[in-house]
Amino acid sequence: MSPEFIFQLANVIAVLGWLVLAEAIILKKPLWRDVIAGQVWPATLSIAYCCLILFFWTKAEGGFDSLANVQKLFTFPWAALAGWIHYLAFDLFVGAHISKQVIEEGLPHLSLVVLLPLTFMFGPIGYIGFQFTRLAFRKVSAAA
Amino acid sequence: MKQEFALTNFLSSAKRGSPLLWWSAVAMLVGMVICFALPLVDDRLIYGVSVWEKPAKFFLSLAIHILTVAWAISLLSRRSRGIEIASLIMVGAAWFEMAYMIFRASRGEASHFNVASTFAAIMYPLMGLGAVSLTTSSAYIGWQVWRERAGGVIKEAAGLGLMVGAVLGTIAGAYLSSHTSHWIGGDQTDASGLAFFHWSTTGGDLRVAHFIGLHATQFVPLAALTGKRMVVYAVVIACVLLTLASFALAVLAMPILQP
Repeated sequence: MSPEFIFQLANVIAVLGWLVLAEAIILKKPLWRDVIAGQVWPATLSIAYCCLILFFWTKAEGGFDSLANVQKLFTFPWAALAGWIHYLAFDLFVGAHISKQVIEEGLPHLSLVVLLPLTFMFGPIGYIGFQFTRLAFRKVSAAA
Repeated sequence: MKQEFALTNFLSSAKRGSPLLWWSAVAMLVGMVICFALPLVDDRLIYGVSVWEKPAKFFLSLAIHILTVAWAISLLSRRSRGIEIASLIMVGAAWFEMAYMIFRASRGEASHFNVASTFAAIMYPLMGLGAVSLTTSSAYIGWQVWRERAGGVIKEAAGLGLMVGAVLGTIAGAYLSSHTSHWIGGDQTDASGLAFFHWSTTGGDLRVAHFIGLHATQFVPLAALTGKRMVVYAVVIACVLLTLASFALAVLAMPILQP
């Protein structure tokens, strides 16, 4: 299997995970949200990540000690693929976490319509958006 | 009931289940450390990697296998004569394999697939016999545990894992040994293979299916820690499918991962 093939495969798996998450929220199934989208899916992607690191870590040039080395590392397709799967796994994990918090803390559920696509596309933007949503809807006593 | 971590419980049960298997596994782990350290003083290579890497990995693999079997025995309500005999056969076969592998490694020669001399040509089939003795005895022990599966999902998974692992491992191993090498096409060296496992990235490699199939022995009971039978059977199916897929790729002379 080529890195390109596994890349496509991982993307399909990740999108399925996000669909499960959306489905779980719409159908109000907290177990699907927290266990399947929040644990099983990120764990599956994490296993793929572990395999790639185990198989290719010693084969890649570069490292984490300078930006130039990180760039060099990512010129190796398998390292770039591992990095990509890292995003996929953690973004979904964070997406499931945000969904759980939004629902359990009683924040407006509709905020997920914005927060989840943001997390899917640009993980940290979705996360900081969630933190702002939390602040914005915090119950405060009105100023006298 | 006393609460324990699953790992602590696994190790103490393995020790209680079969002291013979337990101490064999401990000795093998010591052997593993020595073999992984030997390349520091011995830089001879075979197929592009240290001659000591293979014994080191077999020590590790057999230690894990033997510990799993010892743990499975601890689940049995009583230990029969058959279990004792199967354990003895397992330990004997495992040390026989290791002794020959170390002997060949010390001479910088191949152990498996080596029929270069009369002695080697006798020993290679005997290694096959040793391997089949190992899997047969684990399948037998697995079957004994499986018979007590009414006792819970852990027992069911332990027995099932040993049987599935033995069957898949033996089939993959038998096909392996019917060839003259575990490589099908490709570079015929470990140097260009994946890190640690050295599975070929340029051609088919029959070791992958053998690995996945045998390790069903561990994956299946691990799934039982979730407490759900459905997860156990899903993992059994996954192991079978992955073994078949990696086997098919190897036969088609395709690497599981290629640059």
